[in-house]
Amino acid sequence: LIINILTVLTWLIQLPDSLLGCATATLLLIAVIVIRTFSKSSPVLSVHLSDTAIVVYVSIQFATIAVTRSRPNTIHFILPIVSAMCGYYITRLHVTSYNRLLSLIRFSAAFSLLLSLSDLYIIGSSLKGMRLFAGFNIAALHAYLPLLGGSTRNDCIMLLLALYPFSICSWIMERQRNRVFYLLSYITVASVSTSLVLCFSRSAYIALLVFLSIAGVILRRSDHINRRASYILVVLTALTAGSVISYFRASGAIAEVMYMNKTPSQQRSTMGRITIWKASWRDIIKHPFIGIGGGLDGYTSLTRLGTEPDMPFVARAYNTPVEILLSSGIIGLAIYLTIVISPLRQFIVRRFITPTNNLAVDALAPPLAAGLIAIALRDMTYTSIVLDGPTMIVAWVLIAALINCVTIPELGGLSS
Amino acid sequence: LINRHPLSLEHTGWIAVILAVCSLVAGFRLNLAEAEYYHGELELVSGNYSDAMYNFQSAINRVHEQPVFFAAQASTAAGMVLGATQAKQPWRNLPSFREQDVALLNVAANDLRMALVLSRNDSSFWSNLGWVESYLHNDRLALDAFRHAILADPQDEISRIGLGLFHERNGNSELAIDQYVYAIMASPSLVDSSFFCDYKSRNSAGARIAVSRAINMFEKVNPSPLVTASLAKLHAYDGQYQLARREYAKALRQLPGLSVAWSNLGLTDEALGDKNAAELDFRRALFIDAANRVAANRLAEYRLFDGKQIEANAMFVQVLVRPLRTVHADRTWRIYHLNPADVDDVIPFELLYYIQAPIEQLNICGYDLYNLVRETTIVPAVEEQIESQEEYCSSRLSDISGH
Repeated sequence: LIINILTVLTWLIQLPDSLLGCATATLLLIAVIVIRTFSKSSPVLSVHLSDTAIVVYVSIQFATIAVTRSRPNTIHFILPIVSAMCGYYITRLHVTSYNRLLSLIRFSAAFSLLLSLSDLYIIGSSLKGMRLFAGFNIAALHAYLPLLGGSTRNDCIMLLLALYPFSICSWIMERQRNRVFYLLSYITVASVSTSLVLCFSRSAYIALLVFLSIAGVILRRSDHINRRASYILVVLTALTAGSVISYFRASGAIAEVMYMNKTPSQQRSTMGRITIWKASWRDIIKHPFIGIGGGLDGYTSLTRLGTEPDMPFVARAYNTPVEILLSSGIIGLAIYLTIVISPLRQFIVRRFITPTNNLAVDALAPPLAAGLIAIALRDMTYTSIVLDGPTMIVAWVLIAALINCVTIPELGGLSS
Repeated sequence: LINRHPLSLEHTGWIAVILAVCSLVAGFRLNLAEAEYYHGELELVSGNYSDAMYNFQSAINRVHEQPVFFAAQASTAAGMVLGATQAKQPWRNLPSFREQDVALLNVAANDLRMALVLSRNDSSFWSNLGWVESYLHNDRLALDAFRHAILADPQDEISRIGLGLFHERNGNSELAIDQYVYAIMASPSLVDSSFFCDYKSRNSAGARIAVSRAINMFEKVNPSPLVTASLAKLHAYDGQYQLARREYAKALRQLPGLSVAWSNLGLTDEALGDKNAAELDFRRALFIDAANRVAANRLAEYRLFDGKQIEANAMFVQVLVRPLRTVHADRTWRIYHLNPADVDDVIPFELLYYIQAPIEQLNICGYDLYNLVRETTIVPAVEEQIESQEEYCSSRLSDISGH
């Protein structure tokens, strides 16, 4: 059963990167637009800056096909972006009522529960194997943990981090609504948190800390949060994570990761990234406006092997802004920043400058906004939200859900 | 301005649909070509070269811009010729071919040139071209291709060995040593290979010089765990096992994720007579890289010694049937968004096995082993290993019946 679940999950996760996934997303989007056009009860939605920016961003990717060194690579690069764009528009156009938002959050929370449990299962088996290395630094070996959820372990961490806000939203929404789902939401938060704690990644820990701090501080003042329930959630999560860490004897490794740049593998990771950023920057300067086209990191790295023999072979820039600059130039980066920053700006305006006692704005938008900041921060040392289809889809759906929460009053449901 | 256009959200959604349809149209043709390519890959792995050629050509007809399609067709064309005729002494001379084989080698050379037009910095394409031109006896073109391969990736030991053997064939043994020094520096485990064993037997002074120069050069570069582990391997080859063990321990304490270093430490511990430490080293090596052939080979022997026949059989079958992968094959997906047509994408096919540590034949014979082997998909590249194990078993059987 576990192998079957893992197989189906792996297939589902790889879907957004494929032509089949892209075609499915397109058909769903067409269906949503047609249904909306003929439905008289749908609320009128105004166009948000991010809506236009996303379309322009995808158009720029098509423009780069004219300059790219490898058209097949750039087409492969575009397909997951298009799947993510369809996901974004489906969320924007379809999730316009409280019940639909609840369905989206239930689906995302269920997916994150399944993903985190599978991840814990395979990490658990692997950590048992790491007992062979008694006395060695497990954190230096974390790259050899088996994968689920993306093309690399870091993609898997990013996917869980991007799904984390939905788990928190599920916990907020299910209280006084459905006991079974409410209980499941506790388990989901505890399980995703434990998976993230076992990721042995400095930037993921920082992102997690930022997410919990921002969401915690904003939600503390919310009338929609039950203080006792939140204490129970914190204690349950801490107990679960603590027990798993102690069972696998991973506390020492986690503490070593927290020391930041102490171990040789951490120093190599840091220095390697700095070297890669410098090398990418030299390529960016040659093509500053529209970039070199997407999916060409491997080609560029191949070129560097001859001129800079000490450079490692890498197929990514290990920094989202640098990756976007490389693939789509300054124009692409400006538009991508618009996609990410404009919903956050609107959230700040609606939550703090003109506050309303609406569940969506007051309690659901804060975790989503904090999640967006956290994944953007985490991707300062990686590139999942630009290169990894599943993470991209979850991140763009999160942006769409955040925009809907702060712009559609109906999403507040019973509390509005 | 961008937010004040007269379009509604539905209209913007329709623009998104148009963009999505455009990407589907662009992706559809590529997807068909890739499906043809993967079909060809299956045919190639099964040894059906003609069908593989047909599929790769169909992929090329659909999409002309994918270098891997051309490289795969070149490998297939070269495989049709070289699969049956192996160079027995590639350092001395290469065989001559019939007219139709020469035509196929020319097809391979042209395909590799097309691949290089699309991806000029791929050292593996250059190195393969160097070998194809060598087989065609176009020495000038071969030398040019090998030099380009080294310029494209100075760390590629396969290109270095290709050029070194080329120099040996042309009587330039000093130039060959230079290339072997760099090849050893790129992959110190080369000293365990059949290639180096042959080199030592034909030029023992050259082999000694190559190793000592590699040690000297390692001592001059900035110290790092990788350099220390490489030095340890060469010190172990020199017989300085205690020093090698200390160096491995230092390197692995800093960077424990080096599977090859763990298996090399295991071999050093074995040489020092510490079997328990060696077994743990091999288990660690296999944990980090399940494809570590040396570690699996040695552990299979340990299991056999412990009387754990089933475990030993399973481990040894893995060693026998798991094809070797090139560094280029590991990188192919990350460069070209495609899996390689064959995990051993080096021309000629036997070269990769020639520069790796050979499999140690174990006393694991009989129906159990052959049933396990038969249950696994065998690619042509590993058939030779299975055949040699069968020969080993037959010889043991005749020894026993003799007694």
